[in-house]
Amino acid sequence: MDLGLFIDGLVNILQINTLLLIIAGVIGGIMIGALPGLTATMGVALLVPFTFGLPVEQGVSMLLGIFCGAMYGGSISAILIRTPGTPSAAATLLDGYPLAQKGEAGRALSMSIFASFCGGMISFIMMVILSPQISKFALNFSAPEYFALAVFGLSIIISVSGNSVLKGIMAGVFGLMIASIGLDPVSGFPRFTFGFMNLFEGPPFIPTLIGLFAFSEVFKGVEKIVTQAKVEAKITRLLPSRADIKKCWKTIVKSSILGSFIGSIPGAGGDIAAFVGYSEAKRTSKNPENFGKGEIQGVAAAEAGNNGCTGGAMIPLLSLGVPGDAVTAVLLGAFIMQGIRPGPLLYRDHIDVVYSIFAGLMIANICLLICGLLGIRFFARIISINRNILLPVIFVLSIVGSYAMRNSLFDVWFALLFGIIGYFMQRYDFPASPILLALILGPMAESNLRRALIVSQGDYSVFITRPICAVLLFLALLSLITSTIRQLRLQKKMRQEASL
Amino acid sequence: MKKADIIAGLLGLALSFYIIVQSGKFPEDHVLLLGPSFFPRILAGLMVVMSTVLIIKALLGKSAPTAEKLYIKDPGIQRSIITLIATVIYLLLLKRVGFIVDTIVYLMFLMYLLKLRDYLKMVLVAVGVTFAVYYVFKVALNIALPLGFWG
Repeated sequence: MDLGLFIDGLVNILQINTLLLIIAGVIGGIMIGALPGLTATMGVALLVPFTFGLPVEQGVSMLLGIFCGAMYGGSISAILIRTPGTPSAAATLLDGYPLAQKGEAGRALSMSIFASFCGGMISFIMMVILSPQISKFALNFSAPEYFALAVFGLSIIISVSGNSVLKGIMAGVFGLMIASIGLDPVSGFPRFTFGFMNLFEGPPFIPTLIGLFAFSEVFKGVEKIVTQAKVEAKITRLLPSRADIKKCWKTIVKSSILGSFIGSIPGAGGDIAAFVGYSEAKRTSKNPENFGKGEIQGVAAAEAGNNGCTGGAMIPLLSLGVPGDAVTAVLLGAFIMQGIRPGPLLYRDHIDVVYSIFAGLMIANICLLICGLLGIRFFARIISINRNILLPVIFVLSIVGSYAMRNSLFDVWFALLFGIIGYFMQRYDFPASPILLALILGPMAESNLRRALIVSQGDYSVFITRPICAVLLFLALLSLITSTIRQLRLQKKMRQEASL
Repeated sequence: MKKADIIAGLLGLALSFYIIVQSGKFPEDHVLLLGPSFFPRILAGLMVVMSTVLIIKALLGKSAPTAEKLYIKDPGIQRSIITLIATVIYLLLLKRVGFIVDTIVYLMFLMYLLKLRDYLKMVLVAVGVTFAVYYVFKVALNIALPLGFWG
């Protein structure tokens, strides 16, 4: 790491406008993350349009703030009303809610924000150290490796999302089909555009994912009229006590490092990191029987793992141009829209941008800590907003958000279409995350596959004879096979239980 | 879940055939066969295989028993459909009526549909949100929203 460059980056970020935008992003992210039913992916997708008009550094810093805030926000509702605001807060709920029931909601919340901050910072350090090395290594990659990387990322997200690998693969292939709309990356021939000029540049990214992750959710949301659970817990404490920090710091460090590594695997995200961190803390604890009954270490482990993902997921995103999970896929799309194309070349040619992003992530984490601690009571009130006000507002934000990128109503119709597709997909158990990753990775997979085959004169053995490529493809296959076996076992077990 | 899986499989097959037929019209690379139709055809092939497996599994009664059935008479489903229609009308009127009026009406309608009966709150939220969104995008971010006679 180059300290001089990092300080330059910090100077870039530490301007009053940029700081205010980061804070706005963090607060917006926490709010959306905290609202049950609005996932971090949806939150980032809804807030990305707010960064369109901004200069690059400000836009990117605000995006990082949104990202960190959204990853943390879910734990607030998990602790207070036993509903994880985002899937990755599901592990926080296990001990967070029992603590709140014991009247220690403040203790759980302050520890969760502290652990999130530590997770974010430790993973930030790992990112700063590791990502330049990986990008150097990746400079040697050529077409076959990039193709294999795309396949690897897709297969991981298919293995971890949804209940059926078969449906996951179908969703992924469908996403790749959507991604092939527009000008062919190699020859420039327009494909599947139905005569729409608007589709020549490919499917509009933000509208598509607002459709899949926001419209579809609100269409589902209007089906059931639920009155939001009221927050009953009193919040008395705003800072974690010294005794709690002393008790938890080892757990936090361990969980953060685990989270960073899990986050850095393309395809694996915050929910997995949180559960791995949690079960590791439970396994190594002296009193594992306390876990699940309100053990403060459980909250710390889950949250540190969850936010440890933030920096971890940035590693493949920045150095390889491959998103770590669904949330970072949105982030990557937004970066590209800002004119930053992550990948090894970014490190070689625009190292100043890389260091600005590093600095932005660090500042975003510090803002997260401050906003989180000061705003606990406010955020606790936000989650009791009734759905019949919230859902209409999200409809409007989705519409405006999909309109904003190109000032085009076509994009809004496109988003609405994908909202309907997404609604039916989730209804029938087809996961949407593989589509999102496919949209990002599709062009990369296709152009590198074709380039590799052109270079090899149509000889497919290049994918097996190049070691890195072969290993990645093997791991991709392995992850699909193991998760199929796991699911078959689970189904068999469920059927046996059903027949009893 | 049988029916839904069969329909999904058939849709997958239909999509694949569409892609195969369409890609036949693409300019071809006759040497290495790596033209614009190369990748979509691989995808179509994969989709055909997966869809067929899904259909066969469903016919053998091996599909996972999950999702609830879709009843058109279910009030929730009807609400989703009304919301969709309202959104379509909102979008069609956007250019004619203008963002501000259109959005206020749309928001109030949706809140009413979701059984909000506190009319003061309804108006305050609708007007507040509309103007907030309008000013953030128009003034702070310089993104022009479709304008009609209002704004």
